[in-house]
Amino acid sequence: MQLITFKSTRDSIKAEAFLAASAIRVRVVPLPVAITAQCGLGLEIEDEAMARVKEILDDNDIIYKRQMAIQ
Amino acid sequence: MNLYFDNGSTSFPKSAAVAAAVDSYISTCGGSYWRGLSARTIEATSIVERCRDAVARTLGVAAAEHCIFTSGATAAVAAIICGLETAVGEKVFISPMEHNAVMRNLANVGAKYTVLPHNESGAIDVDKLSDVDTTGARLVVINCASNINGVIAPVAKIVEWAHSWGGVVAIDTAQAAGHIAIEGDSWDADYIIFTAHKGLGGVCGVGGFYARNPDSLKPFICGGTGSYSHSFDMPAVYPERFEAGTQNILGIAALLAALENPIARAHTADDFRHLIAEIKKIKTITLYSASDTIELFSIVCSNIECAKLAERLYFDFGIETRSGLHCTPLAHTTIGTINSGTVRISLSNSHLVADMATLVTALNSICN
Repeated sequence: MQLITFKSTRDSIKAEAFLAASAIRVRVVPLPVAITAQCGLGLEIEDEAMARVKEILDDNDIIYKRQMAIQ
Repeated sequence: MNLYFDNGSTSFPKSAAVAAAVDSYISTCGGSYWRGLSARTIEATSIVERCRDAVARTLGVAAAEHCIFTSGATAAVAAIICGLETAVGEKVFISPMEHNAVMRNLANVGAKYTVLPHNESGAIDVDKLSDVDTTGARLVVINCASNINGVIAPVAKIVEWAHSWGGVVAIDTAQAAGHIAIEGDSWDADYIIFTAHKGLGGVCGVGGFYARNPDSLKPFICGGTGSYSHSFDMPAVYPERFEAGTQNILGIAALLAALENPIARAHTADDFRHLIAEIKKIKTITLYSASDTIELFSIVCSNIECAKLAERLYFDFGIETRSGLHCTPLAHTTIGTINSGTVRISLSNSHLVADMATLVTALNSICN
């Protein structure tokens, strides 16, 4: 699984909406304390969906701040 | 029959969709803005951001993330005047129709105001702006449409003038939004102030502002945002830099519903002009309006004090208006009614011609 984070709450919720509308399986999850120097919550996405996720976010001018693999 | 002619105070009736949105939030949605990970949190957050998008469209600006929610237009004015760190003695240009939301905030920071050249209706005389001494000035505050006589300011020309000497312009659309097109990007507006509960058809307790360059403002209210929680400083990102604390999500849900479901107009511009013409026929009434106006005006009757006229309109005919100074002593000084006040009559889209005829009949009965 991949965790992506955003610079603002607005970007996070917009991303969640765009991904859900494109039938991408996405879950809002709390961020580990180590990276809460961002917007508190992130989006959990399946590994194989990441390429499509990047396309969708790019198409909608949403820049994610960080991506990391999680268990 | 709709005899509520006090839409300048707050609009009524609201769209049925507004009531449904309020009920839905209370009954099923709940949730706070990005504080949690449940479906209701996501829905509540989505409502706020969809409303922000709708507000940006309404204000004619592309940068929705630069649209900030506050508790109302007054708080938005304070956020701009204080956020710009307006100094004691600083020269601030204003229109002659400013509300106390502006005047009291300027007084609070000790700014020194200068009224721009204007005519007797309070319309700014753009031909005389080039004569104004701009030395030491930075901020211009413009009432987009008056809450006394409805006069509409020539906003684009004022912004052009202010930018020519390096000034910035804050445009108060509290009365204008929902009645005329707000074209923030086209106007090249620096700041736009709005409220939800008047022409936009939302409920009380929500307003806000747009800032073309949010970095120009220091946050007015600081606190938790649900983000960057490790820091005692406000986040550097928008909109949360200016939205500390929990927003009025109930009111924002109502505003979203209002913007997506505006009340259809039940009368025409000609119908409004006919109303004005009929009232002007009453010889004891002086009517305060302007050539370029929203559907709001004031009257004074020589036969009866304003407070008594408003009282009789309500108790004898069920017609709701507002008398007094309407929190706008500067505007009353401008149009010459500071001693009498006025009775303000402000329409909404839902008024029928028959409603206007009832108003004319009542005024004829009382004032003749």
